Amino acid sequence: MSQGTEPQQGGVGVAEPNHRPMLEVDNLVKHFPIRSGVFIKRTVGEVKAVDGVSLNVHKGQTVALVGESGCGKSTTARAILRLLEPTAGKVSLDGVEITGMGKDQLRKARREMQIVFQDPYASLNPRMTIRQILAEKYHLLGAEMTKSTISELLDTVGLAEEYADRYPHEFSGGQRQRIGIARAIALNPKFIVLDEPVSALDVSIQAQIVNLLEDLQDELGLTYLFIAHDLSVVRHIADRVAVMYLGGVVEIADRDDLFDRPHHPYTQALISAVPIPDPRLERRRERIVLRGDVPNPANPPSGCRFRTRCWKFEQLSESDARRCVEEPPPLLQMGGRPGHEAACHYASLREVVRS
Amino acid sequence: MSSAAEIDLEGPPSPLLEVRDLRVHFKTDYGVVKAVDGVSWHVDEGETLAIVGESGSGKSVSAMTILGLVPSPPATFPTGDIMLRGRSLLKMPEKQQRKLRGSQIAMIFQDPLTALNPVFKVGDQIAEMVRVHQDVSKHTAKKRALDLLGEVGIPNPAVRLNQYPHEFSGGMRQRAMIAMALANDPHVLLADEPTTALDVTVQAQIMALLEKLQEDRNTAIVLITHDLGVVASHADRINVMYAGKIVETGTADEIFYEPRHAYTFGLLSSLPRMDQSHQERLVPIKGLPPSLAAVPRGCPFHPRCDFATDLCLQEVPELRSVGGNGHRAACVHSDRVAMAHEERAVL
Repeated sequence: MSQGTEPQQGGVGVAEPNHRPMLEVDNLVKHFPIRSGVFIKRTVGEVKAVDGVSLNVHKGQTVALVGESGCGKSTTARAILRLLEPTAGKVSLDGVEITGMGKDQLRKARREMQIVFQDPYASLNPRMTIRQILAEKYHLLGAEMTKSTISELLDTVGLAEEYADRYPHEFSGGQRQRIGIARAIALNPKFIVLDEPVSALDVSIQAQIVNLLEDLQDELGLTYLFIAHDLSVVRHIADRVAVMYLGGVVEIADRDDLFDRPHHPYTQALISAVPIPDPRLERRRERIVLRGDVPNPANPPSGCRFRTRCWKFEQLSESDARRCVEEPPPLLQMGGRPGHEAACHYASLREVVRS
Repeated sequence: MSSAAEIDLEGPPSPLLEVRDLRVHFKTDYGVVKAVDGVSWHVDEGETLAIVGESGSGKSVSAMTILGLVPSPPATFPTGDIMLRGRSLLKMPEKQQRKLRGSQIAMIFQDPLTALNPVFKVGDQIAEMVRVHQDVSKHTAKKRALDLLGEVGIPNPAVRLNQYPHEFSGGMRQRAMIAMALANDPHVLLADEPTTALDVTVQAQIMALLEKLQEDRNTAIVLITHDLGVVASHADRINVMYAGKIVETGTADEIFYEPRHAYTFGLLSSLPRMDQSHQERLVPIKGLPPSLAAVPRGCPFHPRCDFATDLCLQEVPELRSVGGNGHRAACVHSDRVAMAHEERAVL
């Protein structure tokens, strides 16, 4: 297996303080009300799907948002794009505040921010041809298009022009995902949310799509927010990684810092749980097996939300453990490395990829 | 492999479960879909055999056939036999087959929510499984269900026994499925993508559970999956399938460190790896997997293969030995694949 060594490739991480980030997310909150009652619906509680997420993405970079199902990563992405109305918080794209925009303004802003969904089967209208699907984008957002627009667009994502008049069911999963990507880049956006774009694809096809996304980023200077649960793909594609658990970011760092020097016990468990396609390495790796499932986000644990499954919490003395129960840990800088933050009272480095 | 036909269940010479030249074809409007086309393998006690391949490679259909879950018609079985301890499952009377399936051989499915009946309590479903195969009272069966739920690590089994599947989380449902599969102490467990629908931390729990159960009971596990990471950490031997055929078979180390089929090599090269800091571009396999109704002539992989020559078109390559005992590949260019792999490993 190859092990590349060139250290360059663009300013990674927070190393660009002089530029304003392309995407700024400040304390984003999305709560869903729980309603009950037959005739008169009363709000009896809230699911705190996203509970104060802050992150920045610089131009041309990829930040990955990872975590298990129900951690709020997709809700965060949708709230950023205002596909879901955020409960609180501020989102700015290229210096322009998205939250608080009126309807017309927002529609204009949508040209700049797009999304690629996980399931290309569900996100393409089966009764429209590819040409109609792509042209609709231009009509809806009021953009110019010429005769060659569609064929150039298809060419960019590696599809032949003759595919334009076919329907989605005539394509394979990988091809459909290419169409989804073509739709997202149609109007030259600045920022794209990639919501599990390769999770539904076979491995051999997955690599094709990952390469396409990387090429497009280089050519068009795109900024990505990459939502994924597959950490191997994340290690490959991301510049920075934010790990979410139960609605909050528990650790955020530049890619190699996160994988090689994780500090939060959840990040460590998550990475250690991912099997690596290398039998000899696997035989000597120790797996941190977490107990139980993610708690109900309508009723999260007090203090640190991870403590009910935390392997470290179990080892703490009663007085130390009390802190985890009573005091929610803030995100603090870790290991003296700028841009590496973790939210744990007892954070410490543990190597989990290779041991 | 011995050719014993009718031996008792205890005899050691024949493998625990053996599939011989199995073919499963489906007649469709677009032609005959050869989902499984001449596949042979075996698995022994305490062993984990992984069957890997992409969607449509035929890996699930072979397992479903073993359990008699592939209806005929539309399916036809032109050739093949399934032997349990040397006795042909397919030649047995239907009633006897049914007895063995579920007790001697059990299966875990990918999606436990569709595999469990939503209108019955989980405990009752497990107890039913016990009562179908064992002559015990309802009370005893329920007691057994309770023990099983405890054994697969479900907290509060007495409460869980009386709950419905929708009250279980994904991981808990998969545990319940495993409890059900274990109800009659099977010798062989067919696990079809057992963790694909689960989060990684839960996947680690379930795989650890399966490993422990295998150790305690010496069960043979046939692990069907597309996840090469899971395979690397759990399989003893691996069959790589492509377009309905086994294209390479060997131990886990042979497949991962000495691939000899161009498809295996391509698959390994296309994987992003979590343990590598700075990765170059991924090397995808070009093109798409073929439709099983129109498999390319010659080697089915040749249109996507970087090693292909005219030689590959002439005939379907047979599995032949490529070193080691039992490492076999169906590739004309296994030497060139070996060289390419060496070069890649040096990089």
